[in-house]
Amino acid sequence: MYSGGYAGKLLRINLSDKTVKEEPLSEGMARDFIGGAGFGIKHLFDEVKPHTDPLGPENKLIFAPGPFTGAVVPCASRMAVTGKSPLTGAVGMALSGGEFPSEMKFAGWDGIIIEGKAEKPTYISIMGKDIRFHDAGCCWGTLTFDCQQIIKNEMHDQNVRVCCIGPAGEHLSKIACMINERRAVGRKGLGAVMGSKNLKAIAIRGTGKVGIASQAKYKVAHAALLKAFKNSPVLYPEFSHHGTPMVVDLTGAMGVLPAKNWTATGEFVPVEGIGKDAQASRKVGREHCHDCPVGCSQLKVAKTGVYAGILSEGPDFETVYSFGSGVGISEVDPIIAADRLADELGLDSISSGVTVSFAMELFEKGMLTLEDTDGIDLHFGNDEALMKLLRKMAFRDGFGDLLADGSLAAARRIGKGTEKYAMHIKGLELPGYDVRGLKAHGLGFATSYTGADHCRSYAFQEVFGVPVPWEVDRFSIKDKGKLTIWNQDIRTSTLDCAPMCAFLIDMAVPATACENTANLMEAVTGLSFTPEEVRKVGERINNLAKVFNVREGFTRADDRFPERLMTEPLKAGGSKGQVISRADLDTMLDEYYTLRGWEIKTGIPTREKLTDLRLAYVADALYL
Amino acid sequence: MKIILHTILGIKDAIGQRLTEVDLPYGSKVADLIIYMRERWGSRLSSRLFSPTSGDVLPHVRIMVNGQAISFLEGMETPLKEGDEVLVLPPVSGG
Repeated sequence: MYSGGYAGKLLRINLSDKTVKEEPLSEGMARDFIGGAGFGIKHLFDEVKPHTDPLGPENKLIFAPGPFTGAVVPCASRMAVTGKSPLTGAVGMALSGGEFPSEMKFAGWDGIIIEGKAEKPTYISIMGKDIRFHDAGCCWGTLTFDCQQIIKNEMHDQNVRVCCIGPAGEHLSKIACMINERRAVGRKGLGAVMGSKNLKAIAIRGTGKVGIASQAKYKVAHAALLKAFKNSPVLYPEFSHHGTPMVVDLTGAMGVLPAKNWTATGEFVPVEGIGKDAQASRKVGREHCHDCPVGCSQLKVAKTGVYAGILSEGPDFETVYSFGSGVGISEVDPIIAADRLADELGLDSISSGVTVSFAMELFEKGMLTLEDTDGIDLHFGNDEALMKLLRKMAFRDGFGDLLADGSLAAARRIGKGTEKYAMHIKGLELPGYDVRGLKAHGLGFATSYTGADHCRSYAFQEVFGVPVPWEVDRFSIKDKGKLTIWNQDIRTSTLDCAPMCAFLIDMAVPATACENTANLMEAVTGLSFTPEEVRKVGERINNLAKVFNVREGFTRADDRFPERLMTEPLKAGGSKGQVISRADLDTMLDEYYTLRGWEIKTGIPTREKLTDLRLAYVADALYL
Repeated sequence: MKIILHTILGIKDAIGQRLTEVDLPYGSKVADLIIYMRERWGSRLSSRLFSPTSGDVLPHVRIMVNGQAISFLEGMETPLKEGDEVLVLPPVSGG
């Protein structure tokens, strides 16, 4: 049995009948799913029936940190939040750092399962074992930063940690996020799930500590991890100072920074205005998540025009893409302001930016007019229009209501063949990598159980050139199925379940990620794992999530790119001429499914594969 | 012949600009460009590009010709031609 790391119990809160239940965490659950996304997806599959309305009371939200969270393990300050996504209808899982996840552990919980629906707007306080339901009349309708402060004041405790939704979640925008402090549980519309439950916020405070099973083993594992940090040529020398905006410069140079709704990648490359140097000119400080020695999070203040004085934590690379090059904006200050506004409104910055860029393309094509857009000029590069639309989307005001559920839903409402301009996979808007020039990265987007999600299988071999497990030609499709499985499974177990910071793999422990997690698991929890057993946890979870999606009706046909990526070669830049044809995608999918042990025609996991992963009961549900 | 040297971040800072037009003799290879860079920007560039012990290009520095990594071409022997764009990239991460 585990003897450290885990609190040993899960908290189940039913908002419909205001009941609270404590449930034990079994060793089997810890061994097979570790924590974080593993716990979330396991509970989601077991408890949310097929075809459940994502915005109905039967959907659930599972907040789960991991065994290392709060245990002084560097870069392990994270939690996963899982539910059925209202945006995609598939598994919705998103991670967040900050202080809230560690506070969950200090409060004594390995996970919190939220179910049902409150009769009226509510927030929950969790002070260790003291769980209370509060009328959210004080904060319903507020922006996320104000909401957190109001709840802290109400609770007479400025150190309480709050995770909440903004107006977007309250109005059930399917691209709504949750915010804790200035950090987001960003994607897949989980903020709308929270809003559908009439749950404005969870406030949490704990006074406990997270135990360590073996201090001697922990000392060794901890030292090895810190040594890997120090040996990285980029982690401390560059990344801790500049953060993710460095990637703007890199993707711009490689010709894979998407621009103007993916119509002008390689042609519109505003690196001088929005890249690392421009970002650095606005930097006023940085922030660290709990127990993080790196501190990649950048605090920036806009300096010019109507945006002068607006501060944001970020914008990170993805937001620089979605509110910058993606919508044709080439200056940093509007991006800082839009980043802050999206956080305050509780909107996913990627999906909201890409949805605006979709509308801008239609406007430029004449498929939307001023009459449709409430008189807003939606030409690319109009930052004032971006700000207006973000507010309108969050409040479902006028034209904003059309965009509030993301680009695919908007295209379906607009009709006129506009669906092909919606840049999404499975309904989730594409992140900031034009995968026509990054083939494995693209296959990762296509096969991710959450849709177009850069966090599920980041192909750092292609983007950053790290030659682990082998050196990769980014333009080739050869062996990309095998590589994608490697990336997905290792990332899932070592980063999504532990959970640890996503930047660990490519910068610190690319060749030893599973060994690092195995050593930390034994030291912190007392449970022995081999590196292969760690990897297999990732494989198990990716299969379980896949079956959840199959049960919802997803097929091979959903593992697809937008038409543009398959038919329009890049016209300029460092990836000029590149495209991923349908045939190339099919070749990669065939390889991927075969190596996964999934049926090639359908993409459905076989009974043999599921049984091998100790998921026989899942096979029983699938093969009646 | 003229080629475009494209650099970013620390290497760009050492050189002073993102894009630099470089005039090399016809028949030059990537290795010749590297020698040119060492001679032209020497001490400003050396710690970001070259190993202090061997003098070779650091293993985490990536070089691409027209977007293709030279390890999938002919390495440092990759021939250059008029109008080529050569990317010289320091280690980057994030995203």
